[in-house]
Amino acid sequence: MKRNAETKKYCGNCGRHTAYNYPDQVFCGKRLSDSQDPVVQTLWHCENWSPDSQECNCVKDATKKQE
Amino acid sequence: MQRKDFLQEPVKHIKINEKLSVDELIQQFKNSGSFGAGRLAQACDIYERMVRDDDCTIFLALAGAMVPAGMRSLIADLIRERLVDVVVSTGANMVHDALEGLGGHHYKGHWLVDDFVLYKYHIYRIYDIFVPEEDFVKLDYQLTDIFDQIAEENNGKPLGSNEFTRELGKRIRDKNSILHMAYEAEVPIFLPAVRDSEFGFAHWLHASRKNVKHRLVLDAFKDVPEIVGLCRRSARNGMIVLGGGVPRNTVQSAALASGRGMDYAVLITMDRPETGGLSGSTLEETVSWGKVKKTADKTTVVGDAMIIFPIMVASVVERLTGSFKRVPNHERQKLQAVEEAG
Repeated sequence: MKRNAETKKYCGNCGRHTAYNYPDQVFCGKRLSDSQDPVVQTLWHCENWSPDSQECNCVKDATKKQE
Repeated sequence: MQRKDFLQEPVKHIKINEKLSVDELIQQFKNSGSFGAGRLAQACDIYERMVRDDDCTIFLALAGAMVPAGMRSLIADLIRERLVDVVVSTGANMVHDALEGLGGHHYKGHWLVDDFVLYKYHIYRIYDIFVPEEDFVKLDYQLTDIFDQIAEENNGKPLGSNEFTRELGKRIRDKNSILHMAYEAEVPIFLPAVRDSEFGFAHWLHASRKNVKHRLVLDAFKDVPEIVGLCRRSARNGMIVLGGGVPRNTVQSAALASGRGMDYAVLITMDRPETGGLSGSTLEETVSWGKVKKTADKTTVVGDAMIIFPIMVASVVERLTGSFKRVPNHERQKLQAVEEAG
């Protein structure tokens, strides 16, 4: 389960996110530059998902909170 | 000099009692006159003379992470009480002021910590202070809107850094904020290296959005005549430097360009002069440039500004009890101009 969460295409896995309301929401710089709402759920994913994951606990902690 | 001239004043030993106030302790330091204690007592006396000199403009140069560490309210209070007239700061210190003014916090942490664990939790470390990344992100997000407003209101006109800080201070409605208090008290805050801070990245976010109507433009050179003019119009000038770096250089260069030279100078630093860097250069070295007068009332206290400066301010404030109210030099000049015109 843990391994699966880490490899899923979650915004919290994307290399472009920063924390917004840890661990539930992340801030997407790409969406801001496109004039879209930059605040998204950590466990949401968009078509611009980048494969460059960050080594952070966002997805792990958001998943744990959701369970 | 004769032998007896070297042996004029014996060291008086420090005496402590249970009722000792801050200034009384400083007087004990003055009696000893030795090492850091003697220099700190000297610094307090010089700052008191600056404050009591009606014709002196007091510049505060601020470098190092003073605001995150807890110096925010102290500096806002100095501005409120008109005990400094001009602030020259790193961009970062004002970023951290804005961060708290817009809802963020700094947390007590520890220097002995696994920094990669902090990284994974999106927490930044400033020695033993922790800052959540989200507070920076929320700051950036709010700043993009604030930058939009400032750019729109000014129709894209380039602003000097002191005009920029004034616009920020107008919008941060927090009585403990340095930026807000400076706005209310009309004390200029110059940020000579504004780009080298989170303001730079917030500007990038603001300006790189696809539908941005007005881009905020800052003109770094616009500050120069402003700050040189402040020095030139003042009969005497004094500076208190915490750290050094770009803020110290900006103040000293204004003193040089105005042809005035500082009349008072207190430098609090832990840096050394051997590298040629400005944070460690001695006040004597600045005399060679004409930035500080040969006859200036000056001292350097080697130590942590987080310890030294609050003690120095507490000591001087204690001396200013009663009806003392400082009217800044530039305010008096304005009043005189109004009276003369009327």
